[in-house]
Amino acid sequence: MRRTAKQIAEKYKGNLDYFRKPHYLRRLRGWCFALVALGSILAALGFRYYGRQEFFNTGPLSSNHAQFANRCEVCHDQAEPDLLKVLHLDALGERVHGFSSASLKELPGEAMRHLPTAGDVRAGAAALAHLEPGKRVEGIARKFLEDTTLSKMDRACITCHEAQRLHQPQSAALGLRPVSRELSLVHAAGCASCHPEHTGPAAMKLPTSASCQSCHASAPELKQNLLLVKTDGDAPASAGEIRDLGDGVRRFLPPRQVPHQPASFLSFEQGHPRFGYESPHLRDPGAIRFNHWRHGQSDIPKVDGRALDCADCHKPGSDGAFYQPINFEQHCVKCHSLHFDPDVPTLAIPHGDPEKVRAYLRSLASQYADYALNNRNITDRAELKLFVNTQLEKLQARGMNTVKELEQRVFFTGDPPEVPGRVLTRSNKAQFFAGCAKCHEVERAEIAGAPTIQPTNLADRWLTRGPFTHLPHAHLACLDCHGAAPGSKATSDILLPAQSSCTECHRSLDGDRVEPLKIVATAEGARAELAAKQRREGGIAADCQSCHRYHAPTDADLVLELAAQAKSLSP
Amino acid sequence: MESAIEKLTTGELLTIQELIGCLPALAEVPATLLEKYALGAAVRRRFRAGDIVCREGEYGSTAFFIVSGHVEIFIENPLAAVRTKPGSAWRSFLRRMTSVLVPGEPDLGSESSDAGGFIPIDASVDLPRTTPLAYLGAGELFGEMTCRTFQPRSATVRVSEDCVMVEMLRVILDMLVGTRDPDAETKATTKVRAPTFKGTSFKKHLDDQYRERSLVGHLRAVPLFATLDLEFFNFLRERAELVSCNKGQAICQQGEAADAFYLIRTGLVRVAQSMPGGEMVRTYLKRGEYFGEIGLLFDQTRNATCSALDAVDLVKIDRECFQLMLEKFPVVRATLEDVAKKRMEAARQRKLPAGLQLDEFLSQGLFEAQNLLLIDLDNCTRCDACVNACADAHDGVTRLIRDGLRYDRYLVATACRSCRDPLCMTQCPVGSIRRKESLEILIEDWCIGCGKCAELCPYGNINMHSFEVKKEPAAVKTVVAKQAVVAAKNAPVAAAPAPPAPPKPVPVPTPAPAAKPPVKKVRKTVTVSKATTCDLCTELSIPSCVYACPHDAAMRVDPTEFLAKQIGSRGSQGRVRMRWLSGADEKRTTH
Amino acid sequence: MILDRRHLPWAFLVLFATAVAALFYLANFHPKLLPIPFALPPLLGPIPPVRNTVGGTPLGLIFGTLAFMIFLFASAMGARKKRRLWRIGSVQTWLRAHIWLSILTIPLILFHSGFALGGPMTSTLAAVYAIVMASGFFGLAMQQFMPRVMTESLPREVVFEQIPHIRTLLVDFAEKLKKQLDPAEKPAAKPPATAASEGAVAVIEAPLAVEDSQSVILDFLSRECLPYLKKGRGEQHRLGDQKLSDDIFRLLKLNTAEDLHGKVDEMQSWCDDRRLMDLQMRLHHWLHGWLIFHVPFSVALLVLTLWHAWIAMTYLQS
Repeated sequence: MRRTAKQIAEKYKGNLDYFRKPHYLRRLRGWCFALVALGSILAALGFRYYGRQEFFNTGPLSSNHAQFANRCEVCHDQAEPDLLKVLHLDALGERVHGFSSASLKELPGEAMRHLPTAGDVRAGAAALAHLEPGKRVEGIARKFLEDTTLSKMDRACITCHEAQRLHQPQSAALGLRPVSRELSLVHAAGCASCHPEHTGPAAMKLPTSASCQSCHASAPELKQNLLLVKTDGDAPASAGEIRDLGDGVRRFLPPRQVPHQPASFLSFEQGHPRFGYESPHLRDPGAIRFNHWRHGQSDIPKVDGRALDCADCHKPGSDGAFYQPINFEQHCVKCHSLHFDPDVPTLAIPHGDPEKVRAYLRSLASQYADYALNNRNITDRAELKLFVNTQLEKLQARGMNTVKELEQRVFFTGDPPEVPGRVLTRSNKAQFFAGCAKCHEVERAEIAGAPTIQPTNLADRWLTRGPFTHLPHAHLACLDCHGAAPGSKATSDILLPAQSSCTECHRSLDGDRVEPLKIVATAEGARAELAAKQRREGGIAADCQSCHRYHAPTDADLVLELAAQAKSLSP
Repeated sequence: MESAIEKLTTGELLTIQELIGCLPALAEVPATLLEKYALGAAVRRRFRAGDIVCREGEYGSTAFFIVSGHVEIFIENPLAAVRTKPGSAWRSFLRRMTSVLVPGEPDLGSESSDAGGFIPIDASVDLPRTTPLAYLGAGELFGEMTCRTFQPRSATVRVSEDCVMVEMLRVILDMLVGTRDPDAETKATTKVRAPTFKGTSFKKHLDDQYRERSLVGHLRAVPLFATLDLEFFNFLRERAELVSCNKGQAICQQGEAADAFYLIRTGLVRVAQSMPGGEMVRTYLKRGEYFGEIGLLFDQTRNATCSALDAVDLVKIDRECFQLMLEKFPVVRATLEDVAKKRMEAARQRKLPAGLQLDEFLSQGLFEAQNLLLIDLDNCTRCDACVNACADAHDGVTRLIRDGLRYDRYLVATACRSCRDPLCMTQCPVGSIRRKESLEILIEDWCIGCGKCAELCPYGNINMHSFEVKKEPAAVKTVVAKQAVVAAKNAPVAAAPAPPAPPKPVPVPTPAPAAKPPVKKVRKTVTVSKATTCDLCTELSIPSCVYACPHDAAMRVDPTEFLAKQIGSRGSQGRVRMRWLSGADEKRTTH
Repeated sequence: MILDRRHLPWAFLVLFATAVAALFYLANFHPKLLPIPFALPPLLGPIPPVRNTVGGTPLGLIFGTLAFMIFLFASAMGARKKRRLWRIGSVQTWLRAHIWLSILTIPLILFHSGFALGGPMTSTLAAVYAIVMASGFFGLAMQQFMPRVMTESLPREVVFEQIPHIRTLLVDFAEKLKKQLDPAEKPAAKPPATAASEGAVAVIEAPLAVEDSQSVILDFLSRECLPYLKKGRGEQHRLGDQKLSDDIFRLLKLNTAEDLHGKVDEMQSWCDDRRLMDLQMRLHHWLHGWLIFHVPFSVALLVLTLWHAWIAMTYLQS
């Protein structure tokens, strides 16, 4: 049945305005449209005013701050997306949810009552005797707040984390000794630039090197973000010094330039500044004469049938992290005995206090008598006297006629006497005993009395900034790092590894070797293989956080902490 | 012979004597013929003031002669254009469109129309376009065209003063003014053997009346004559020849030497050009329109054949007269040259159809189409955006139906296709549907809603839309009309001997001030209808439907050319499956 | 909108933009993945992302802002379709831009999010985005072949929105026919003799009486045809099945007089029309149903994106 165009058109007569009435599909769409649009707006408003603010999180909060998950305004001060406020309907907003946006801000203080406060943290730190958390730091902090542009969120952070509000990378070295203090404060990047939140439900991650590099990789950035604050204090030492910071550990504190301009560099193996002790003119301030080279010579008598070895003097401490301090009684006396009479092997000059030595020498006769009584069972008085006289005569025969002469020999020249200050080129077997001055700086008393002996002033720690310990390096031989020791003839030589030698292992895994190997590996066996592999490939921790702390707790804390870590790592 | 002549049933039957008493001119007709045909073919009707004699859009077969009294003639259907309800942008965005009729702007007609400020109606007067109201008095004839060609009534006639009229059938009319030869078609189809009459002096009376009353108005309405002075109009009135043509008679032939300029008095003239591919109807011209100027102006032969579609009366202005006018009024010459140039340019652009020899192509009438709205059904998602856009562009009324016959994978949408032979124009009683210099077919504001064009369109492309309109009650109009009548009564007396009435013979007060006085406005809701058809979105470069199509489916094309290219190139059957490889269809929009 | 050659420039544009965005993203956040080092202008943000989320970094914000602008543009498509007359680029160009720029948002959003869902809010946003994109792609896929399927399977397709109107027309026709045949109207006619089933069973030998046939048709009309035409969902009706319907009408013709076959044909064409309209509705739902998700959810997407941006900006500031 063939239709014409006219017939087709005829069908629609009378209903030509159909498009004005939306058909059901369009109506359905319209309803959905209205519903979804209204729904989404209501959802937005509802969530804002009645829902959990957690909903807005870009990611879950860390466990550290989990309690604030639904309280955005705790950190994001005034950041509540209050639509009513935007529309200038504050009054309505108050009526709608019972409180104004301003009153919200007062709540956090209440919420933080049970948090550890800045005071608590400081109280722990104050246990260290020398730490004076006092007014000066407070003053700096205040100045910091005034001078820098802390973001709102940073202010929220330091409400709780007050003790760690500054970038004081040098404070362990500077903050704890009474020198002129100068703090470099970072004032551009906020807390969140290194401590990102909303990254997952685990604990907040420690910042990575990348965070540091965001400033330290570029000089202009560094300069722009640095605020130098000077405080009162002594002039800085120019030659470095050794100080005990109150914990019984003597640290070498390298000198510091004021004002200090931190270097810009890319990584530990690329451009990292040398260690503090590496300055060319720096000397080991230790006040003892010790010649490593001499002790390695072949004419040195064997100890326990072996040639002398590093480990004979440098013995690991009980925790393995550090070596025991060098100690005369343990490490020297075997060779450098204080016997003065070959006939009487058990009598020795006491080591330590010169007054005691003097008293000992003055009471030499009774010492002999005691010896005879106790060791030779001479009880007869005459026999005793004879023994004592004989020994004293023998001493006189060796040139020590008077007590004074005896003291001269003991304190200064040794026996037979030696010209003080002369460096021996070979073993001086002719001398029966050496005077104190062989090793110590001995100063004659000006009028009378015992000479004074300068403290040895040996440093226990050289790497004060970083938490270096020997534990992770146990597979290395001493000379792998301290390669200069066998050739060192003077105590003032600083025999610690250069920063560049650290980078042989401590560099990124595929990082290019910056310089050829400096140190001849001396380890043996499996340990050598491991060492060689590490040197070949790098990849040993080289991130900033391995050594540095941005907020600078005392390095004592750090050392303990890292020693504990290291212990748990070592087999 | 069966009694083929219908009889009138309403009204008083008239005897021959009474008839002659009313229409003295009938005395000239032989009494035998009167006896045979006139009995029962005319009745006397008496009307009281306020009665409606006939309404616009009604069908009829009679003419009226006013014996005594006055009537007013007006167009009841508001002179209005469809407009979207004004509202804020936001509201209109949310709400669906509502469209209403608003009064057409008065200046719109006179500017855009070449028929001047008049609506031609089926009487010896014209209605001014601004206030479509006129009066007729005793001795006037109206409804001639309805009687002769069964057109719908073109206007509403209301009695303003008690009236006696003679209502007559065609046979009386023929007696009065003479029979027109029926064309071959009518002869073949009708069983009625109508007698032929020579006509009477009444014909001359009508001619004189026309000469006196409307001729100058018509002439002046022709834009190019607008600058002529009164003196020359008077000269023309005397010189112009009044010519009558029978149905189908050629007024001038293409290729003949041009000898005269014609102005149409009544009837419809078909202007066609013969081309190698066949004859193409350029346009149909109506009362008040003119033709033949190009030949005279450029001394050419006729470039189109003009023939009478029905009984046509013409005003013929001969060559000398025309030349005289051109000499006297150089402005006329300039404008005339402009118009002529435009017409010729338009004619030249029309190309010859390539002639696709496909049954479907012919049977769907695509050959007739000059500009077709096609929808590529492979692309079309039936989202109806085209229809909505059409409605948007046309004040909330769509002129497009997204259905129709298919040609290959194209849907030939139901929207005006700008036929070469626009049938729709042939029977508009008020000449509001017309074509201008370009393809599009327009329906002017004074459409009376008779629905003739919609009926005639073979493709259902014209639609009648009805609107509810608040209308002023008849009383108001009557007041206005009475004033007009009074004014008219006075005017002819004062200016009786004087040459023709000015173009607006009756100073009709505008309805607005007249409506203000005491008469209380009781507006009632009336449903009126208007015809609408696609106007190709003339004022825009691309038709809105095509522009709004999001899916590259709708297109306005010359079907012959386009389909020959699209389908002819790959055979009428198989579809191109992987069209994205071959590239998209080349689309052309013409307008 | 069928994807044709005119989409190629857009596709290239999107590919190119994706490549550029990817280069920037990698250079900024995963420089090691790039074969050749590529330095970004320092304005484009810190090399390590501040948080694990990329969105807060300058580059991430640029990605997010671009995507948001595209969202705005894409939703302006709805407004564009309402304002059909504004000559501000054809709707086709808009639609092409709508499709391809929206596709471009996929890499932009991925780079903006750093391939992570983030918190509950951003996850919601991502879900809404996924719905919008999925429905959009579904619609695009449908538009590739559904129009052709409709063209081929619906030879007498009507205007979809007019289907209710035409249905009432069909019912009107049927009612008219019923009235025409109803013996109550014509008192001369016999009362209906048998039910249609009986009539159908009876073997026809003698030419059928017109009156009998009329009653058969009348019965069929009121029992089968009219209920089918009036039914809301015509698929379940047996006239809703093409083959069954053909058989039924063939049988009906056997049971009716020759004179009335015209009427039967008429009825059959109504039922055919109705069946085709049902099919058309089903196909139309496939072609347009996705909009029910696409449009509302794109609004939701816009609202949530605004919300997300607003919240992100407030938190970014403090």
